Amino acid sequence: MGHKRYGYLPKSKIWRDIVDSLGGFALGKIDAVSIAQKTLQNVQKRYSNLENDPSINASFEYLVEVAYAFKQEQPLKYLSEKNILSEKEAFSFFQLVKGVNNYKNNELVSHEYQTFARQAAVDAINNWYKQNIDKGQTLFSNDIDQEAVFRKASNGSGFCELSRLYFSKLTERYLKYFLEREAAIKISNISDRNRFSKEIEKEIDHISKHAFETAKITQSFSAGWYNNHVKDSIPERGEIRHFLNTSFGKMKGELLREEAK
Amino acid sequence: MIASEEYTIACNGIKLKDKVKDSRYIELNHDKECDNVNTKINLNNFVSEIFKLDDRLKDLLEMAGYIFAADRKTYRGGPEDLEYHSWARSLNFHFTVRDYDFWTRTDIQNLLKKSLLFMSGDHSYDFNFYKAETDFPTSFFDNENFVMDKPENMKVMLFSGGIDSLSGAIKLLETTDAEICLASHQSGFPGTHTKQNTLFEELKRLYPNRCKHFKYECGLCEQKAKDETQRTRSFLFTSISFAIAHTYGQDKLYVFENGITSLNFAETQDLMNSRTSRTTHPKTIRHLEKLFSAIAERPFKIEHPFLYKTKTDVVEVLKKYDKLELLNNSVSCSETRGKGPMNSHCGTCSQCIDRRFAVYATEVEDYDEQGLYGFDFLKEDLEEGKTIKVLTEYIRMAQNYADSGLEEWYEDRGYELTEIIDYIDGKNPNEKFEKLYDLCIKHSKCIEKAINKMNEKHNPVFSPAKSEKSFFNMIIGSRLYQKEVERESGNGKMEIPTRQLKNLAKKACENLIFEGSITTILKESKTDKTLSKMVTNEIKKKYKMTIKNEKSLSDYFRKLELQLKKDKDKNLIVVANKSR
Repeated sequence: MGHKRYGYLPKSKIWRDIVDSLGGFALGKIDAVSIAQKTLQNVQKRYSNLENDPSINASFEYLVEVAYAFKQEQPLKYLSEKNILSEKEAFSFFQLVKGVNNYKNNELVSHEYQTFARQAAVDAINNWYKQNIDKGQTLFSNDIDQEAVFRKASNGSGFCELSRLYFSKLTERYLKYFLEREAAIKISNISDRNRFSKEIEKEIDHISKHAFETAKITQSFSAGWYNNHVKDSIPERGEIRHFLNTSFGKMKGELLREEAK
Repeated sequence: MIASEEYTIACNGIKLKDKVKDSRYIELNHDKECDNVNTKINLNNFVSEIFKLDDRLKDLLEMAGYIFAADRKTYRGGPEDLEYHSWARSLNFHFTVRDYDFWTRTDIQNLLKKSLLFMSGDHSYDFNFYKAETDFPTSFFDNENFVMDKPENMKVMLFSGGIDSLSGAIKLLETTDAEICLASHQSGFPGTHTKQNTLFEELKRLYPNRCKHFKYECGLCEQKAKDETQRTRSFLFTSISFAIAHTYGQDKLYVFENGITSLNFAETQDLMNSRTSRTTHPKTIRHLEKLFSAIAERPFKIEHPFLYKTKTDVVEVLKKYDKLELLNNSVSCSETRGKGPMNSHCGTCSQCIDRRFAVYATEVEDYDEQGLYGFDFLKEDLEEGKTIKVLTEYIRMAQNYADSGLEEWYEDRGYELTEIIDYIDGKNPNEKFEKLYDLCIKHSKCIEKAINKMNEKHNPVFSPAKSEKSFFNMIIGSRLYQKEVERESGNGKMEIPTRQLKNLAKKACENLIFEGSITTILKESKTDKTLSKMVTNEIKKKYKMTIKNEKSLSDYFRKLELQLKKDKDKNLIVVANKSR
């Protein structure tokens, strides 16, 4: 009982180079973001193709549904009708988090991608909610008007931050999927190993902010897309895919920008 | 398009002629009347031991045996695959069953599928049933007229022979006066059988007339498994226990496993999707309860008394009841391959590591270190990458628990918690989170205590220095005594990688713009170095900057190799130009 099937990186040269880089990190010769860039280069086609995966589409659509629901006069009723919320339970952010698992879960091609997609959506809702509650309150404070908090997700800027978090977390998890397989072998000191993970998280978050904010994708594209397409209904799949295509492209572009030069 | 690997498995004499040439068609047979017997399912012996078993339960045990054999015979991709899409298989079974009307019900098939999908992480299970012929009686008692004795004071539990089930048995024997039925699965590993049998004999000696041991032999025979993982073993194991419990009129069975192993949070991202096993995960248990209730046609419960206990708590049970002499005969190792003939434990898998930390935290290591381990990480150099990884990630996770408050702990494993929270008891999610968090904190304290004890015993301050590759230096040593101190004093920062200075300077400058520290176009000159100083200070947060680095950085801006500009939307940007 309690078995773990540990993974390793392929034996090909491009992946052994990544493993060597992990060793370089432990020696202070290379930083985490450079390793993340190299890793993304190795899988950039697969990363770009994530936009075509039905689970990725479904999980992002779920976030659109949540944002759209809180535009309605009765968001909880809307979400119940969509089978996202259970009427038996009092509304809480965790109900929205759990809803990710049941949303269009038959639209599945790869279990691996489905899990990334769900994890990223869960992370996005948790992080977004935490950012939008008052200072001094915690995720588990009882005196929060949670419905009022989620109303903030219903406008362009609220949605844009929710989607930024989604792409940031999806990218972070996808890169860690490869890097964490052999990170501890090369970075065996626990303090260094923790620092490696934290730096990856911080850098991807930074890159996503850059892609979505500094590069103006937020104001001119993300919020605009939301305001134009999420008015009276949820956008068509084609529209969602277009958004995913642009966002993955921006994330990839930002992450690889330094490497390409 | 990524499709899961589809296998068709025809069991017990069924032949699907149109599939024979398909490389993913498998025939599994245990009946000696079939040609090509490749599976061992010793149902007749099992039935004889408990006198009689109704048809539905015989079907369940036979199916569970075949599912387990198919699980081992089908490949789930390699650990070095780039992405693990082959992990999730599509398994299409063809079974003969005695209770045909029951198994062909859609609701029953859905319960079967749900139970198997979550625990295995597979893509799909499909079942095709065929009516079986009536069995010959397996014993004198195996007939409709024989009425089973149904003792009131009996408890049935899974007995793997590991520390958790051993402690569970002792707990039941010490705290109740019930007769304890130990249900075991025995496959092809003689070492495990011997240990289970030895432990049972010991329990029988210590608690006369209190224990029974039922063994169900089942597995692949005369062939090596394609995959070491055996995620459906828990379906087989609990089915065995359920068959016994139900036959003896019980409405519950016991599963003893510590909560940390049951929840089995992934230490690394690649371990998602059941690559950390879900053998006794709360969701697995609830799904099985529903299936067994449907089979029994009355509510059936699976008790999980150690859910909020750590492995150390479990070892404490043996200590409390003065049964530590049994520790030596229990087997925790999860490796089925690569163990030496003299050792019951590899010493390097996650379960061996977990066991060693638990016995050190309980301070009973002298009972456990009697040649059990093929590799002793406390005494030998860490040469193998896998061992280093298992140890580092195991301790890192415990440290992360220790460093996290409830909120951070929740955020780190939000998705995994969505798979748990509806399947455990409690008034509301917050209360449940707190209970699970407390368990993880308790675990981290046990690991800390174990490391202190290991240091005290194997690495005392004035003992000769250990090798660089020792556990104490390689994994925990430098963290405790050197690294953090160095970094705090600023000496442990990274050197700037060759040819990375310009890139770093550009990135640092972009950070300063992003943070609002630079809002206008600043120009660098020999007399005004405001810009390069700001960027230097930003880089110094993480890297060592030499005087030469600082000079080069100023030159980049002065010679316009790096330049602040505004884009068409009037946003401030940093442009890298080629050197002139």
